[in-house]
Parts: sequence; C-alpha cells; structure tokens
Amino acid sequence: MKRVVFVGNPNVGKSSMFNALLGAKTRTMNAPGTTVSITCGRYRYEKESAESGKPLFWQFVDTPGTYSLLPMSPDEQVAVDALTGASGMPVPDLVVVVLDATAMSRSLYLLSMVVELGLPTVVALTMDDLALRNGCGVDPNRLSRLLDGMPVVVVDGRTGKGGEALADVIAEGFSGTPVPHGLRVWSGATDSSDSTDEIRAWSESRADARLNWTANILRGLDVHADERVTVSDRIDRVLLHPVFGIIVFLAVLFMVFQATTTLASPMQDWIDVTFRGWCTNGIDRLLGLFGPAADGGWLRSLTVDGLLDGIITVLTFIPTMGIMFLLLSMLEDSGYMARAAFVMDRAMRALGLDGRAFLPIIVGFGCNLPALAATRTLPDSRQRVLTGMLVPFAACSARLSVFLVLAHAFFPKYAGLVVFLMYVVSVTVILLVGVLLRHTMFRGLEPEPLMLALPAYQCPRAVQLVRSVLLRLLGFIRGASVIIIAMIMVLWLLQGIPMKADAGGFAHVDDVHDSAYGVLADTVAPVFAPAGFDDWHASAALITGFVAKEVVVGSMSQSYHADESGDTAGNRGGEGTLGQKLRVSFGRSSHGHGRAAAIAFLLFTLAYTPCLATVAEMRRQFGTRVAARSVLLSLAVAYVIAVVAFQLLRLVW
Amino acid sequence: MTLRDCPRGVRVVVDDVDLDDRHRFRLREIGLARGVELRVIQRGVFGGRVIAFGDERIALDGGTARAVHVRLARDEAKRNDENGDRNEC
Repeated sequence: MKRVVFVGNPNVGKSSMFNALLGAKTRTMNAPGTTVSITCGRYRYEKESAESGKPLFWQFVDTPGTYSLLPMSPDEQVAVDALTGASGMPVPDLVVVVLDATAMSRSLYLLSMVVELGLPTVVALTMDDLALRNGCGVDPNRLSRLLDGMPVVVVDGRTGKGGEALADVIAEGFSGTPVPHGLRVWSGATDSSDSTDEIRAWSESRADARLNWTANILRGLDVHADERVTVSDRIDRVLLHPVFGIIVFLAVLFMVFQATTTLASPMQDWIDVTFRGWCTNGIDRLLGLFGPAADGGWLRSLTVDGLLDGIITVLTFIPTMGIMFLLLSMLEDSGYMARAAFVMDRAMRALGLDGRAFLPIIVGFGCNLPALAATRTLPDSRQRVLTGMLVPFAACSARLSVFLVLAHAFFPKYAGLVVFLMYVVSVTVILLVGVLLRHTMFRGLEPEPLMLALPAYQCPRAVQLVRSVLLRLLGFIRGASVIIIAMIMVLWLLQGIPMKADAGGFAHVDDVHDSAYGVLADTVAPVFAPAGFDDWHASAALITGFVAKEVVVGSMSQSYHADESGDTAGNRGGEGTLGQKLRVSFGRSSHGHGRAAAIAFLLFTLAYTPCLATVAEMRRQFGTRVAARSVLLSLAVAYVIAVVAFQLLRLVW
Repeated sequence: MTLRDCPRGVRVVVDDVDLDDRHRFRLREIGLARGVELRVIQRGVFGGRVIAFGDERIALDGGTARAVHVRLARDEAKRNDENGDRNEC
C-alpha cells in the first residue's frame, strides 16, 4: 500500500484537512519510541485503477506541524523522521506539503526543504479563502507555473473541499513530480538511518539558497509586504493587550474550568443515577426470566455491582471529557490558543513550563482527567509529559468531598480553613515537584524561546468540531474502559469472597472486613503506621479511592456501617455517625493524636494517585513507563508528606 | 535599538540577532533574517512582542525581542541619499 505523508507548518489546518479527507477512519498512535502522536488512516481512492478495476487504498500519515527539517523539538523530529524514513518508519512514496496562503514565505521555505529530499511532492494550499478576504489570495495555477509544474491544489482545511482533486493529483504524482529550478535534490536524504547529523548539516548549508528561492517565488506571486491591518490584528489589539489580554484569558480559563465541572455535573449525575437505574431494572427483569433463583444471586451481583458499575463509571467521564475536547478544539481551531500561549508565557517560563501549561493545570483543579487531555496543546512532547506528571497533584473536586468530611469531623470550627490550606498545599506541591522533575527526569529541558507564528482567527466549523470530538471520545473510551471495568470487577470479587465461616455467602458478605478485601486492607494498613492512620478503614478507603475518589466517602460509610445519610450530617456539623466513628478510629490508630492523623490522611489523599481513569489516560497518551513513574512518584510524595506532617503535628496536637 | 524598545507601528529593519546558532537559524527560517523589514504591532505585558511582516504575525518572548537588533527603515532611505551624494563628489 502506497504511503503518503502530510507535512506543514503548525496551525495551518493540516490536521483538520487530514481528518476531513479520511472521515472517521483515523487512528492516533505514538511514533515509535516517543510520546509524540501521529495520526494514520487508509484512504480509499474511488477511481478504479487501470489493471484491477478495484478501488485503491493508500496509507495517509499526518505529522506534527514543523517550520523546518532542522527540528527544535521531539515533535518536529518525528515529522522529519516520517519524511526521511528514520526511526522505524518507512520512506514515504509521496509527500503532500500543506501551504498556508496567508503565510507564504515560511510555507515556501518548508516546501523547498521537502522538495530537496527528492520524493514526489504535491502542494495542498489552505487558508486561501482567508487570504482572498485579506486581499492577498494566491492563484494556484500561477504558483504551479512558478514551481515548474509541481501540482498545486486548493483545499479547504475545515470542510475538506478539494479533497478529490488532491487525490487525483496524488495518484498521478506517485510516478514523479517536477523539481523546481533553483532547488537541488540531495541524494543522501534516505540513504542511511543514522543520518540525523547529516540532515542537520544539509539543512543549514543550503539555507541561503532556499531563502533566495523563496523570495523569488514570492516576487513571482506578487505578494506584497503591505502594511495592512487585518481583522485578526484588530482582535489582537484587545486579546493581546497587556491588561485586557490577561482579563480575557482569565475569563476563558474560568469558563473552561466551570464547563468541565459544573456543566458536566448534572449529566454525570443523570448517568450515575437515572441511567444506572434503568440498566439495573433491565438486568433484573432479564434475570427474572431465568427464575427466582437467578435474581438476587451472585450472578446479579456480578452483573450489577461489578460489570455494570464499571461501565457506568466509564460513561460518567464522557460528559466532562467531551466538553473538554470540544472546548480545546474550539480554542485551537479559532486561533486563540496561540494568543493564550503568548499571554502566559512569561509567568509559566518562571516555573520552567510552557505558557500553554497553564490551562491543563488549572483545569486539573476541577478534574484531572480532562486536564490531561488538555496537555495536547503543548507543542513539545517533553513539556507535555512534564505537565502531565504535574496534573495529578492538582486537588480535583472529587478529593474535595474527602477533605470536607474529614475537615468537618476533626476541625468543626475551622473546616473551611483546613480545606483552603489543602489547596495551598496542592499548589505548593505542584511547584516543588515541578522543580524536582526539571532537575531529574527532565534535566536540561529549558523552555524554548517563544517564536510563535500567530494564525489568523477563524470560526471553527460545527460539523468538523463534533466529528473530531466524537473521534477523540472513542479513543478515550477504548483506552480507559478495559482497565476501569477490570479493576472494578477485581474489587467486586475481593469484596465478595468471604474469609470467615459466618461471614455470609459469596457476593453477600455482610461486613466488608470479613471479605478478601478486608484482608487486603488489613495487610496494607501497617504501612501507614508512621503516618498515624494504620487502620483498615483508612486503607480500605484509600484502595477504593485509587479507582475513583468520589467513592472514598461512600466506602468509608460502608466500612463503618454508618448509613448513607450519616455522612451528609457529618459534612454539616461533624456530629453525624460517620464523623464520630472517624474520630474514634483515627484516635485509636494514632495513639491519641487523631487530628494529626486526620491531616496526614488528607495530605495523602491529596497527592497519592489520581483516579484510575486518569492513570489509564496517562498511559494512553504517554505510554506505560511514564504512567508507572507518575503513579510511583505520587505515592512517594504522598507518603513522605503524610508521614512528615503526622510526626510534626502530633507534637502539637 | 532592539525590538524590545523600538516604537510600535514603525517600520524597522533587522540588523543583527544576538542568539545562539540554533535559535538564530530558526528565527531566520520563520522569516526574521538580517535585512528583513518589519513592524512591532503589539506589546505584551512582560516584554513579549508581536511583529508583522507582510501578512505574517510572529509572537516573540521578551528575551528574544531583546536579542533582535533593528534600525529604523527611514534611515535606509537617508543613508542611500548620503551615499548617492558622496558618489557624485
């Protein structure tokens, strides 16, 4: 199958065009040995091939945007490798270079480098409608003539219009395309696999010649360097204004934060309660068909409390993830993300992070999962991984529910202050872990100087938006569902296995402590002795909390046999049954220093690991090694601060 | 004069770029080479600058802006005139 690689500058609508060409049939994966994602898909060329009379299939590969073949980031390196057939990727049979009609000089410069690789090359011209509106439209035929016959096709990046013409040109292009005069093909491009240095040397040596060539083509196109004030300039007067820019940015940030939490919340509740109720009723009715014995037995428990619980848990993440993907696409496609990067650059640079890292970290205080999704916007994969490893330390709203219960139980008059301090600790931990990571795992990662081409503002198209959101949601579900459902089934199993003779039947264990899960909690509990909460109730809650933080309070109630209404009373006055039982057991495990142990427990909950869905998403985005490191880092940091806090505070409390 | 302290909206010409090789090359590749005419059209809050040449807009951080040395484009015309006068003599 012939392989066609797409390259172009960042923010020229290359990925939208790519997705529009392939419809929903794309697959995103990491380039071999990296955390940089590339998208592939099979393109079906409808016109029958001469010999077989059947449609042809081509392998289309999309690469990260790059300004040049002399890469400045791992992402750009992947684009270069995809073109030269390095790092385990095959040499392409044809290259489509996407040119931005509103930024011809840097587009042509990249084209010149790609052409000199000697592969068949065709040009897809995007943003031409925008260029025409600005009065500097590019005539594709004129450009093609200036390029000595190289095929040039106008493609609308958002709708994919022009795709068929592009396909025709690709089909003809496999047999070879003309090399414009003034450019020289380099034979060493695809010779050996270890030629990174040679490529660098080649890129630098011909730079003058290519820049001259670019200037000549621009002259031929009659593109004037006028002092035009575009619509985008006018909008930028406000959005990049030293004062208004920050205000707008904070407003956008707040909106994203609210949308992924408050807006998603009713939908999540509906799925968790109403939809779950429908499914449970349906299952009951189905099982009822098999006779009264089946209904109420362990099969029902397995299906409802195990499998269904797992599926519902995955579904509850869809509203927040869907909203995040939608907002991200809107912010990127409209062109605003680049402005946000500029506004926040200085502040984040002081922390050694990219300006765009602000969004994921702030969103993380609502929910870690969409925050991880938001790291996509960072153009450098190392910055993405670094930010992704800091996100779990943002205290999400699910952790807040745990903070509230314990704060009310142990510090009834100062609950609000305690919760506030937890957030202060969260921010501090993010900063400190950031410093730690930059001196160890990411040593040498300095934020690159910001040299960012600002794309023109555009209105994202609704159909494209929805399609890309659905695609990404599907990817998330595929990555997260297996691991979450599996974990929940394991927990169900552990809680269902009775370990004592009179504990009740399988899947009907009365006291959680008597089940295999209770044994597990007992085994883990002594680890927390230095932190003052080596009580099986605490470790049982923490293990459930690994799956989802929202469940911690519920599982604590369950383990204490406190009824569900008890914990809401605990929220309010600290006098509820749960609050009392917590005080008793924490007091016992800490030998009288209940409050210190409570603080230690809170700190541990803050930092230990994010929920399983977040870990699964991290694994999907960054690979198993990074996810494992992140989990171990979180556990280590959580343990250290919990132990230190307990040992210091018990001298006082 | 650098991009950091040059006035807004005025045409200037790039004289020199005081960065390491890698970054100087990249700036060249995205269009900021010696002799290129451009304007600063926006000032950011911590020294960042947005520059315009043709229809392209490039955002630079404060450090990079400080490293790009420019002179006023008007001087170009004046210097040409002076050179012309000397030749006539």
